[in-house]
Amino acid sequence: MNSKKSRTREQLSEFWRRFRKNKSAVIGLVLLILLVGMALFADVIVPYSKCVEQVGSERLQGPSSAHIFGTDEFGRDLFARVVHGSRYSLFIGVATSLMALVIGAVLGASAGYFGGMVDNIICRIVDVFMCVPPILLSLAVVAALGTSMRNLIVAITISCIPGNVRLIRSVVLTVAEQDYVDVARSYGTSNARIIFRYVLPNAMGPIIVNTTMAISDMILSAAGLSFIGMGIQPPSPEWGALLSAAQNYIFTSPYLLFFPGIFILLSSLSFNLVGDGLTDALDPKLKN
Amino acid sequence: MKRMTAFFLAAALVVSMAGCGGSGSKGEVQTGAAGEAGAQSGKDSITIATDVDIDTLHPSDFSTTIEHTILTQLYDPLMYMNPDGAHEPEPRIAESYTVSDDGKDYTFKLRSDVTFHDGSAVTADDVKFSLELYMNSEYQGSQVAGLESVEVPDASTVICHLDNPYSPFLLGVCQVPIASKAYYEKSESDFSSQPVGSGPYKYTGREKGSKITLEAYDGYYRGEAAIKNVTYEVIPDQSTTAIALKTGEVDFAMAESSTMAQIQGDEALTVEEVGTSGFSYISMNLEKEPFNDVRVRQAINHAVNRENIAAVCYDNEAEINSNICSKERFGYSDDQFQYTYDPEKAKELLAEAGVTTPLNLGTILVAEKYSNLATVIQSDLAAVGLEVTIEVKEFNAYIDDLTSGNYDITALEMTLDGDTQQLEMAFCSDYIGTANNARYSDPDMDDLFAQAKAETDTDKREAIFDQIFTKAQDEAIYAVICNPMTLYVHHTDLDCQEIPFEGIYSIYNFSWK
Repeated sequence: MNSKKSRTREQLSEFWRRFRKNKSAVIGLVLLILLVGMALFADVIVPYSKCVEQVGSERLQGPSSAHIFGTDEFGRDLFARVVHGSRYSLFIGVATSLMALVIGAVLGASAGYFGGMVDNIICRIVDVFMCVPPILLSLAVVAALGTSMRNLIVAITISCIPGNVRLIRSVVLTVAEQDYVDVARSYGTSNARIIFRYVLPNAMGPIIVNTTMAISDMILSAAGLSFIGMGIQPPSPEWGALLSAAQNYIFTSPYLLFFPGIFILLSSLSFNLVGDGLTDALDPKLKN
Repeated sequence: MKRMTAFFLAAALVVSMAGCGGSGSKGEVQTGAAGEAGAQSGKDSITIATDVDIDTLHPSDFSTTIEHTILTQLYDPLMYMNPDGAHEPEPRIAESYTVSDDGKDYTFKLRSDVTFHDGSAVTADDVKFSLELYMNSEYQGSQVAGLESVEVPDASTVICHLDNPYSPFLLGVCQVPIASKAYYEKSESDFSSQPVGSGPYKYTGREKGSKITLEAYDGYYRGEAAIKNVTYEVIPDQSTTAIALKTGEVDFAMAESSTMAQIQGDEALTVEEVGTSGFSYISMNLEKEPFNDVRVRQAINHAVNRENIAAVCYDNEAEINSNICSKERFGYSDDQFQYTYDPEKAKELLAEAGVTTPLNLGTILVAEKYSNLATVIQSDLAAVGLEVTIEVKEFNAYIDDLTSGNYDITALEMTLDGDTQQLEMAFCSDYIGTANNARYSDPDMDDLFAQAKAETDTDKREAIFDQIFTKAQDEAIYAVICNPMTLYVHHTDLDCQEIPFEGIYSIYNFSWK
């Protein structure tokens, strides 16, 4: 037991050493920590009331010392809206990716491990879903369920599942043929135990990387859906919704687009950089 | 196959247009060519942007403004009457009309030289057919309210028999497009999809979701139109429309006030403000608590800051008015109560009504395009202790909930144009489930509108309407906010004459300078 624990610790420090070597990944991680910190401590940075308070006399004012990001068409403080918007955007990104990961892992691992009929049924269903572009699929789901934050999350998760199933199935296929799986099977270990104890942990590398990268896609999808008015309900300050509201003022008040746009970019970038770092750090072939 | 040829014909036209403009590159046949041609003199085509596509071109079963506008170019009415009701009717297909002494018979004398776009003559039978189409239409039937029967004594005379004298009838009948009976009998589907009209422009083709093309009819009885080719281009996004106007890709468009900052200051563009009877308003579901209490409704009326809404949602391109009857309309009077922004008064009224604040009013349900209204109203109501959550729905789903009474409170715009009598749709119990969104039901109100309909004396009618709107204001049935202006933007070189009240223009009056 002891040796196992110390081996895990050794692996972790080895992983951290390799991750650290990748400068851009570290920058991504720092950015990510800052953004998550901003989301967690939004109320400390600026109270929520600031982002719904409308001051008619201060409409569409550019950045100033009173409003460092300026004000929107209702006279609301854009900085407060961007800060609180991070809660919605990041939460949607993480929640949808994790949900899609869990469902994708169960389906993908079953398909890859059992093969045959199970594989066929799951893959054909996934194929059908793959035929529909993800954004259209989300649109259809939101249109059917109605617009709300919960439905938005469901819609984006559904559109993300097919890709996850495909990926996890392909990783599991290679792992399932390893000798140790055959050995486990010959010992009479149950299928569920083999999948969750031996197959999935060994397929974890690509899955973690994919999920991290997916978060950035999910943030963009949520922003996209909010942009076309199918996401968060006003006056909640989701980043995509901020962009959507700003489009009419693109020529007169471009800062309304600039600030939320920058934050979408930064969050998406940070998840991507971290994802890249993880790919390198988790790749056993680079071990040295 | 027929559709295909029409399409090729349209494509060929566009190519020849580009040639006329003298802009060399024929490869760039599409919109760019039309835009470049705009700089040249002697241009005889225009491109008009529309934010939504048409669904039908049926002369009586249409429901949107853009359909109405295009039908106006395709069909002529018996007579033309400016919708403000203040002008004398101008002759069109009918050269004159007379009203019998009892006010129940309207006789129209038709011109003999009017032809449909297929060359056949417009006869009294076609007029009878068109009027009957309106009488039986679920969509536009109210335009010919009171019309009992149509008689055709000879080929150039049409007599309309009314069940009761009804003075707004003339304005309504002037809205009826005259369509071909023979064409309708030949094919009902072509009748609504490929109309053969009696107006200055004929329909030449359509690309669904993208464009509709019209061409001047050379046999038009008032002379061929100055603008020969018209293209309606579907551009859903307002900012894109504004850019298309600036680049010259589009010559004429209805614009939203939020794009004015982009457009004003560009000397090549002119903005026309057109008054309308349309109104933006808050509708409360009177069947639900606490909206059944008149004091709560009055409080809401006092709680909204109309000046601020006009500034935020309409960039001040709107006339503040808490009365459902617009100020230009027959029956309006300054004596009818106007609600003003007074949060203290609102709080008092709420206290009187025994409401303990903060009170949750439920959901303010809005369509996407009205979410700005809802956002401002939410904050105004919160200031007097009334809380609402916003729910935005897709337009048609929203309309379903609205008309079936499946909502608490909502904000929207509505137009009940034509005679003031049309406002009965917002108040009478017969219209619960259609335009009476408050679901207001009061026999006295129904009776007042019935009286107004039957009254022929103008002064007495005005007095009845005064009673109606005084009652509507006292009971705060709706919280009307303002009458938004319709804004049209066009190239300064395009002479649009005066765009009439309500904004239904006629391209026949347009010309390039």
